[in-house]
Amino acid sequence: MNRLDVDQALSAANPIDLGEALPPLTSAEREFLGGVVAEPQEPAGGERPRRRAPGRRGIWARYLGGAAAVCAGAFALLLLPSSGPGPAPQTPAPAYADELARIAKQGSTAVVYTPEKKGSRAVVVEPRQQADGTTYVVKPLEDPSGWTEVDPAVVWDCSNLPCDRRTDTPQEAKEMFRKLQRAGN
Amino acid sequence: MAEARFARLYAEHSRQVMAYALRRTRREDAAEVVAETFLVAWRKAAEMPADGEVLLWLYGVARLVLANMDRGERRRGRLDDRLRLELPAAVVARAEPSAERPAVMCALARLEKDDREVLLLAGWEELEPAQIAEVLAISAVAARSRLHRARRRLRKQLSEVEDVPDPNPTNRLEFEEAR
Repeated sequence: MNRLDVDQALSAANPIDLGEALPPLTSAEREFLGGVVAEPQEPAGGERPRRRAPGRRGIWARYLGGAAAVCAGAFALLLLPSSGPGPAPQTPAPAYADELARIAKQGSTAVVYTPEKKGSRAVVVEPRQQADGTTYVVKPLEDPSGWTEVDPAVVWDCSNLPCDRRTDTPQEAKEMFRKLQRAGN
Repeated sequence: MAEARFARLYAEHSRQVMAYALRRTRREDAAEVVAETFLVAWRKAAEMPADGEVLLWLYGVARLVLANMDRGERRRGRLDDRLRLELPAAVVARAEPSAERPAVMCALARLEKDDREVLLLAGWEELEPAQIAEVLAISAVAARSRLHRARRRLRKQLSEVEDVPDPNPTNRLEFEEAR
């Protein structure tokens, strides 16, 4: 079965047809719309974030190639407060730390490729909800035995800043992670 | 002004969003998906793209609404019975499904959810890869790649499920068990 056959089979299995003409709105729909527009609107917050397409360099080159050394290995095990409600932290933070905080705010465990040339190239970011706000834990991924304990939802490439999200789904993250395991970080 | 544009966009696109929902969930839930999608659209009207791209944006919102339903979030229950009945009736189910449909449905049910979604956006919503990318908020390159992989997996599954009884003769999709 070639591509055309697959597409034709899919199309033939489509269970729903749209009518030719749009029917006029019913009274129930007009009532519904009236209720919706009575709801408050959110202020403009920018468009949905878009991920960049891979550049000319291959993914592996992006992961494993040379990277801008923005910060050193001070993130081996850190517990950093995120900027929750209230005044933002005034402590000068490296761009990488800001990126880690941004990633942690996505709310799920992530594997991150660091901008370091030496030491651990990968860290795991785990967001933690605490009573006084969100924090995140960064763990190095140096010990191969530790790799199996990670079930990342997202893989990011921070070898160049800002970090570039490389996977869109947990399944892709797992597949990417398995490749990285085989490659030995 | 905002109300007028919103009402116009609802009139133009609610049937397509309803069809999108009906292709992916039960009839009784589809109206909720449409209502929630347009409620989100109203609240986030400032982020809504230009008219020509609104439908893709709405598909993206509906997709997230469906995902939230899958996770068991409480329904808003803002629809009355009239709307719950009228909205699905605005689109029609095909009276005579194709002979291939049971095998295709069975093969689709065996796929990962992400593979299935990209295939359905291409095959049922008839979107191009660049448009699929808009709905899924991924790059066009990623969308093309994902579609290619999904077609290959569907082809493999179709080769393994040639003769099966229709698992869903009601002519509607119910993939919950495979999610």
